[in-house]
Amino acid sequence: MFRSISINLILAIKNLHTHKIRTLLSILGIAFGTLSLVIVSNITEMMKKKVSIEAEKYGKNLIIVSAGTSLTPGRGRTVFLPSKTLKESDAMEVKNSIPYVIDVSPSFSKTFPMRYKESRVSANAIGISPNYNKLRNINIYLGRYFTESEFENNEKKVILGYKIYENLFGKEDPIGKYVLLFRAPLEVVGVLEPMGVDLTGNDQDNQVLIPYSTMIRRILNVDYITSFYVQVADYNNLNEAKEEINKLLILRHKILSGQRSDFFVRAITDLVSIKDEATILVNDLGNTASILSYSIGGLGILAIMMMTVAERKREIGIRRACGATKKDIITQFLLEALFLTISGSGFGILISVVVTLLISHYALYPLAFSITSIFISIVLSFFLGLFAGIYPAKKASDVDPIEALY
Amino acid sequence: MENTPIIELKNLKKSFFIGNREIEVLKGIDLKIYKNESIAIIGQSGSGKTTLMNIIGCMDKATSGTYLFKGKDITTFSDDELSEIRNESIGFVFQQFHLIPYINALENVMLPTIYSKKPLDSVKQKAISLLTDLGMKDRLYNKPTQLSGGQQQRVAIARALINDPEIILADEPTGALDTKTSSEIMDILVSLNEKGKTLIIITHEVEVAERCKKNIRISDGKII
Repeated sequence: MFRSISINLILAIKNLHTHKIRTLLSILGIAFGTLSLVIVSNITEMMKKKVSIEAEKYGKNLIIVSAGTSLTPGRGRTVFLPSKTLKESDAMEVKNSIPYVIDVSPSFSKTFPMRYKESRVSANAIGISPNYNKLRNINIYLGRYFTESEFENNEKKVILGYKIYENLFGKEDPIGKYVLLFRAPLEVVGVLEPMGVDLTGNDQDNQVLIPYSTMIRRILNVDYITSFYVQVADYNNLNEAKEEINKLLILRHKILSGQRSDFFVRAITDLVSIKDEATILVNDLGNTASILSYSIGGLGILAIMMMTVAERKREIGIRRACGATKKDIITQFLLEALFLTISGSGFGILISVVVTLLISHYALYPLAFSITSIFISIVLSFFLGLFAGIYPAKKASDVDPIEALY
Repeated sequence: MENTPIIELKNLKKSFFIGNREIEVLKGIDLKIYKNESIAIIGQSGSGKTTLMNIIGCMDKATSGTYLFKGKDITTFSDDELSEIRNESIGFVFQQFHLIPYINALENVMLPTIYSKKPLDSVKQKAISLLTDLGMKDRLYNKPTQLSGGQQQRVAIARALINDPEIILADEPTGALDTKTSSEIMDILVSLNEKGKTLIIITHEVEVAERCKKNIRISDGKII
């Protein structure tokens, strides 16, 4: 059996070799189908990887609760109305009563003018709780993070974002210097590494970090917060935790059903899935293209197989005279069809790997391959080969050897 | 068992339908062929000799009558069983050589081994030695189009021999060859008979028939 298959395969390849251009053209449909299937999946995979790298950079398993009402008046616009109803106690209650939650970090952010000597910038000042550096990934470029006692004593200390540092200090060493935040003098203890724009759209290089209590007691004297981060132990519980938080806060804020809530809860996955909509579109287009290509490719193979059977009636007669059964003839032509579709798919995979490498190289995406799509394309081309091969093969086995030989 | 014919046909009839008309091509053939005989079946075209050969060669089935192959009634054998007989026991040689054009001489010779159920080893070695014996040592890797008619027929004979069949069934084996090559091919076939093969040749040429020990004439579907 194995010997007969391998010899038949060698003979099939020799026959296809005599019709090089025809063979190449006939497998193009399958190759293009595979190409679009695998490329689109690879691109999706690369985007996912990029987003997950970004999400990882943002912080692990985070939920962000923000004060305010988000309205969507239409055409995809979002209007944000701030509110002063989110309290530190809300954050504490979330931590104490929701089982998945391992930590919360309340914060207050507000944009202030900032000054050092003659330089002025507008900075997004964020009052952070001591555990902020454990929830969000931050790296210190110069100096250090706040100490426990700086948090406890509401000390007037600040950590600068990289752009703020560059704009205010240039090449000067900022550590130990005082900057003015609005009217409050703050001592610089550290500078953050350049981090770029995070998933929520905040420019992290244009922010300054201040101890949370310093911010709300000494600078602003308010009793509310603008947001808090919630960290969940397990990534898989992110959505449940989000629901629980939502329920809890609706209860605490006495939001009636039908009323708009004065807060909103987003999981890090929501931020990622917003970007995913574009991916889904690309994906659907790619899949449509590949289904079309596969169908056309399959029909192409079918046509080529019909042609080859008609051309090789004499060969079929010779093989029958040499002792081939009808089943042998069916096997032979099925093998040929399978060889065509699978090599078409292999060709497509090869090109898609090259294209993926190019995309990754030029579009600066992290390299990722969708093994699933490669597997699917091979399986698909196998069944396509069976589909395109079975009818011609049956035709071939029905060839009357006597007629074919005389 | 020496007396059991290798092939025995009893009142064999074959008819075809052309439209609604039934045409009887073989009208009751009785024939015994013994091991190691060499027989020429002679007849004009249209006499039914090719149909007879197709039935003897298990390529076609009779409409009625009995076909005993090595004493076994194969009249009602299935397509697969007949294929096995063709593969193991009969080597065909055709007038038009019938080699597969896109593979070389050696591969053509090995073709029947694809379908053999017998365990085989060194098929390639055997094919090479068969072709060498037939004077084709230098043409092993040539495609059929690169060979002369006589050379192609030698390849076809080697192919007929690769599975060690008892019977060589040749249909006008010299029909497409010139006189000199014809006699060379006949020399080969006769020598195979001398080495123990049963030789059945269908022909209308007297020169060919004369080389066989026994001649059978067929005319209008009957042996005369």
